[in-house]
Amino acid sequence: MNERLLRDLTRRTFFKQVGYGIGGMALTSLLSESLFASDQDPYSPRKPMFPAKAKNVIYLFMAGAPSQIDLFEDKPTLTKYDQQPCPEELLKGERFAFINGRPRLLASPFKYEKVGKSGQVISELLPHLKEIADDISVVRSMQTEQFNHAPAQLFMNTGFQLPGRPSFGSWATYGLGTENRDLPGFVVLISGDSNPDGGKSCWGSGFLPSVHQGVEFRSQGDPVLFVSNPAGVDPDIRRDTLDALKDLNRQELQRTLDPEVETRISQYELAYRMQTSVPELMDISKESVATHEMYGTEPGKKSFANNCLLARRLVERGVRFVQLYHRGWDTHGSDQASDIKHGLPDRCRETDQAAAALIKDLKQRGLLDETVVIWGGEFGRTPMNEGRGGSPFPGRDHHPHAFTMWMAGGGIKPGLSIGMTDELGYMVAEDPVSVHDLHATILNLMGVDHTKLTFKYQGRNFRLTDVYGNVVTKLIS
Amino acid sequence: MPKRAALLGIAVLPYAFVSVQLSPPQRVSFSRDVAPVFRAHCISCHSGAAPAGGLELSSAKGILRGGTSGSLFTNGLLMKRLTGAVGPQMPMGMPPLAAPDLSAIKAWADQNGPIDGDPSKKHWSYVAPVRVAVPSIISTWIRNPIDAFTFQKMKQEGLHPSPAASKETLIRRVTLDLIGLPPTPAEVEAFLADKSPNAYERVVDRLLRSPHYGERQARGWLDLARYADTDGYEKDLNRTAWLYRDWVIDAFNQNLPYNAFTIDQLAGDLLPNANLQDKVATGFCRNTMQNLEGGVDQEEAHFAVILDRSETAATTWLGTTIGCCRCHDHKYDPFTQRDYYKMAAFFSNTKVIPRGPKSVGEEKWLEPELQVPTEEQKQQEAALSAKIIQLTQQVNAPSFALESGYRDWVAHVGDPTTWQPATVSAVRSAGGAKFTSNPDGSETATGPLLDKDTYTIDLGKAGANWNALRLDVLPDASLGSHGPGRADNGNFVLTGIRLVVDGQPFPLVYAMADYSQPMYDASQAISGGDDSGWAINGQNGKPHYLVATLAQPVKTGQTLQLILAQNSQFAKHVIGRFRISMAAGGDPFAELIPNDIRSAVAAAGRSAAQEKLLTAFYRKITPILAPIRAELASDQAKLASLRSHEPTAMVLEENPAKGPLTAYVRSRGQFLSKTEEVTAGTPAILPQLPAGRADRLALARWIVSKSNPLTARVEVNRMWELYFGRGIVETSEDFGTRCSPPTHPELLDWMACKFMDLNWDMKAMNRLIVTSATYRQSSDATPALIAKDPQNLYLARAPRFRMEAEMIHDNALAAAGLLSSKIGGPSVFPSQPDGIWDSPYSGQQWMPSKGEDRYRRGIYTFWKRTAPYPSFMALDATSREACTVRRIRTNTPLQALALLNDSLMIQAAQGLAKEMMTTKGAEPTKVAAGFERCTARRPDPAELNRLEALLAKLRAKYEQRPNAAAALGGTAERAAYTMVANVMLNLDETITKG
Repeated sequence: MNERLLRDLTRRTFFKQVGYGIGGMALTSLLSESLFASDQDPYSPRKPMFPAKAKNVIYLFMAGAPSQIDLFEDKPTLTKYDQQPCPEELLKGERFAFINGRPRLLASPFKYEKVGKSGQVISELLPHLKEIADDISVVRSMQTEQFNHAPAQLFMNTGFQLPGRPSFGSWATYGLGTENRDLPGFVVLISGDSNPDGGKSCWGSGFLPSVHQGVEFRSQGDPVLFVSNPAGVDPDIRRDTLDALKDLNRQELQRTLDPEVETRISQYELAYRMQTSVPELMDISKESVATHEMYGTEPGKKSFANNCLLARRLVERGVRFVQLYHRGWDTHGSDQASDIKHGLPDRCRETDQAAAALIKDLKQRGLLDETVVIWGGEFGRTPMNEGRGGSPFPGRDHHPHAFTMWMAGGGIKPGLSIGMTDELGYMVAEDPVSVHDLHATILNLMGVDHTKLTFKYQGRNFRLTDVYGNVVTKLIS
Repeated sequence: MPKRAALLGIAVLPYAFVSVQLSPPQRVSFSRDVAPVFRAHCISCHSGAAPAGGLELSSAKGILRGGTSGSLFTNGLLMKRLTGAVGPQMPMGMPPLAAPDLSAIKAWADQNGPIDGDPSKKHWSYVAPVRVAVPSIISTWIRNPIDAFTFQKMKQEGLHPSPAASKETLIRRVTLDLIGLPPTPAEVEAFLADKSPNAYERVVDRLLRSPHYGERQARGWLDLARYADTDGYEKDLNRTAWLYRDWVIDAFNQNLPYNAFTIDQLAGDLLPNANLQDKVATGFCRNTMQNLEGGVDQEEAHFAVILDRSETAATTWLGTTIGCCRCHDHKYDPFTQRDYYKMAAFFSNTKVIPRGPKSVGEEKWLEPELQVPTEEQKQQEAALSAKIIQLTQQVNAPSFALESGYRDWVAHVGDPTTWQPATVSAVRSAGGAKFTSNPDGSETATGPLLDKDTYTIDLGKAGANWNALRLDVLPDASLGSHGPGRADNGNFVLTGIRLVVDGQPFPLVYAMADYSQPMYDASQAISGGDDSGWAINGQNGKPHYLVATLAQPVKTGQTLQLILAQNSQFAKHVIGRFRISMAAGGDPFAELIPNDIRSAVAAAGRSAAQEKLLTAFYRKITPILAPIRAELASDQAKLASLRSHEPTAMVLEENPAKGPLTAYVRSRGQFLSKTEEVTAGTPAILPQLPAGRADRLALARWIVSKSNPLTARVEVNRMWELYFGRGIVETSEDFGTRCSPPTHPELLDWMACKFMDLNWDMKAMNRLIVTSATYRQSSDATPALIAKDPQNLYLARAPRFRMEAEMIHDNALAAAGLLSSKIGGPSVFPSQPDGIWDSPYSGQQWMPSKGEDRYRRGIYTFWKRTAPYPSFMALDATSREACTVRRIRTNTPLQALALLNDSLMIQAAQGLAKEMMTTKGAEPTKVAAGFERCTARRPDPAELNRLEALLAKLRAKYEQRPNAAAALGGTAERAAYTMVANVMLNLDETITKG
């Protein structure tokens, strides 16, 4: 049997199996002619369902949850009642991670300012963000359903609070493929004091084909484990061996008709291409001095700044989805390092300049139009002081009811502020945006109808937004 | 162009096949898809005597009758209510049903609600399996009852079995399956040559007897047992857990019946006359992660441990995910929150050992560890103990010499001695310390301070016939805590004091000191090894001295040298300031004699007790017994050392019972929200626990009682999954109402009953499966087979799937001729990339193993939960933080990189290259031999040609690049063979079990 015959055969099978119902239709509607040309590669770029505003996504995930009260939410009433016991009605039926009893309100010790033409309200902790206030859109009315880190991070990344569902990035490459064929379509970069609590499931592919899972690039040693050839194996020799391997595996494929063999062949080819593209990508030493100054980058260092610059280099190369995790925003105030006055400013110093630089850099390179940048954590923080165990350090507990995220580029209306919370910043008062809404909106920017991007698994059609999600049209330019 | 679109659509086929197996399209079933939703979301209102809206959803009759608003199925009322198209939207006041539930109910309602079975009927897996008749089908293909079931299914699906696999394929498959290793070329050859009708069965029986069988079977069990070598939290500290791992391997090898296997692991400690191994088995329960981080409330941490034990038991034996019930009643399965805490109560009474300060956050709760000597250690221990008894008798035996020596000693006890300062002419420190002399004749150490040191002190010539020496250790402002030791706390450990006279060792008899730290008596400086000695903690910063007697006096003019060894495990515990004095005559111990001895000597008429006391003391210090005592002390030290090196096992120990075992239901699963107190018991939906004490032993026996509907099914399903890559119930971790429906329900029940009929004989069940014709088919597909059964659900061909991480590792090392066949022992550290272990606090490092431990089977690789072995993780191993039933198989470029470039894979390639090059014969023979070591078959001509072409090309290149060849380990020839071997080890066929 020749390969063509095999392909026809397996296609027929596929059609029989998946090509019915909404899932099948959604897939067919996603496809373009270029797919046919590039044949059976799950990574091959596909035309969106409707014209896309954003090609790529850079998601700056602030793991641990930044305090919206101290960064974006100027609340004079909260200041007025600083250190007063929290109104009982706010606590009724509430459940906190650490707060016990009746906590006291805690005003932000930081100054706020309206900046730019847009008049965005931004705290003094984010001076660099102020410079790009007119480029970003701030959503002050985010809501989530989870109030512990691991489930909330999973929820924010996969739309479900338990491990095992495909992540946002994997849905994106599943739906759209990726333009760079030599790098993974979904790359994860990590900085900060440790890995995110939700673990690798935050960028897992769940039940989607595993090619779609996020690939973590390390900041030390091989950026991708085992990417370097052993000593004595030059690239041409690696090529020679892979050619032989491919020939032999093809023979195996013809004998067994096992589609896994076909996938394996293509994974070895991708592995080979990664061997050159990854080191080239990771080498930021040739970036200009001006660029390094703008980001605050130092080649060879493990930092959020370096990761921001790498994110720009990745989307420049056509990688579909880049996610940065920076851990350490969990400002409970159980000690000085995790309080509002020390820990929080430290995190801001680590991230503010580079995040703003990323927007400026994308803009000056004309990439911001086609790249949507998302900034935010898994939930917000309470307007009350946590005071765990009588801690003297000001800190805030987890708060799922209201928090802030910002977005920029890729069809996001610049200079916009949407949503509003109550006087204390406790509940959303206007324009609530759920996690599913956020997912629906970003997919929409990418030219994908979130209700039609589905995958049939265990007899059912699954989607990133489950049965929920409304596109926040106000956000879209 | 709808047609075109469809054509394009099918081109995304890899989605369907890359690695995730799609389930077959299923017809909606009321009992499976709808009833659980009703139970979870609806019947709390719509049932009972006065159901809401007159609609009763707990019976078929009620569902068909509908409510006051009419039939559920007329005008789509049910769906309208559920979607809110007609208010009020159901479930009233609650979030709408999830999309999958809605689509299932819609599909069901569209068919006007056919009801299969009683809605109140139990889910199939909660009803004990009954022996089903083997389908009476006559076919020469059928080899055992399993085949009758699969054959019947194939017929129903319009399929026909594939031909049998080739003998080469078969022996490779079954060898990998049963012992996790590839067959050796000799084994393949023998099997090919054996034309007898039961040649295959003989191979199977040989493999079932192999000691490697247990290693293979244990691998999956260790995922269930979340076995790891670290505690999992924060610093992720090392723990000694491997005795449990070895117990599992041994249990499989001994073919311990599954019921005993179960009871031992859940309650081995509670068995009457439990032996050491029964207790070691409870390591299953002990493998939980343990949070010893500062600030953690240990009672809360232990609560988490208890819940993990109970949830793991439920998942492992009952195929049930009860975790949801920690916070609320299960949404779909018939388990309640009360059930959950009743299960937890079984595990609530085990011993914890509080350590550290008594305050929340600082105190740590440890759990029992058991010393488990190896056979060899047991024998050594017995031999030493016997010798010690014998020497002790010798010491205590009366003799004339002792009698007269004793009388002499008693007469002179307490005679004064004059100490003369010895002249220290030089002091040398092995660790490079320098010494400054003080006016009082003492020496103070300065400069380099190593963890251990030995001082050699030249004392010049003896000024008299000295018979005792005295070592003063003195405080000094330059020392930590003022000394006299150099450790920060001022302590030291003098592990040995030795006198050298005229270049010859000179025996010392006994030593006493003015103060000895408990357990660190001065006498140990003479008699003990490096794990004992004299120390002074508790009286730091003060002067102390030690007196040692000589076996006989030295002679005036002899050259003396004193050696102070300080080699304890405690870093920097060396002496900071000391002075040496010598004496002749009198009683050197005059000032140190304990008061009771002193008064006994002085007593006018000694009591018998006093006499005994004196005799015992004399025997300790007399030079007459010095040689025997030295031997005795040395043996005692050896015994202590032996015991301290015996491995430990983490075990459960039950506290004495105080009434029934209980646990509190915690509101929303929160530790602090105690509500109702419940007693230990099993879930209400399952058979009742027999009368008697409800403890872990009762739970374990209940689990393996034949009336338990789940245990046997869950285990035979896992066995099936091991061989066929997918269980009869695909969700082998979940047999609840949302499990994937069994592909062969009758076969599952038949096997479950058979397993119990065979008294839970695991080897017999494994044998049954691998000797079936179903198992022995070829895995090659045909277009017709792919078209009819793309996922091979109906097994009209053998399965073909990538091997698991450890098997790929073992297979590569075996093909390379490197694999160590050693079974058991401490976990090992094969090579891995730098920077994987990142334990900033613990300082623990990956210290690569040496010798054969570099090439042990993967099951022995050290499992650090926060940083598991990276190439295993790339190949879908788990972090072992929690019980894992099923590893999901993926196929990624990172796997390709790991298998191409991991240094262990390169070492394997070098090994395989060597195997090829030392094969007798021409080049094609050598290359074919390498291929065969990887695949158990000879390459066909095309394959051989391709490999030889590669070899020739690489040889030519490496000849031009001697440095590159050298870097790969030698000559151009060797380098070329190494890379050909690298290709062979990466072949899809090599890493796939087909």
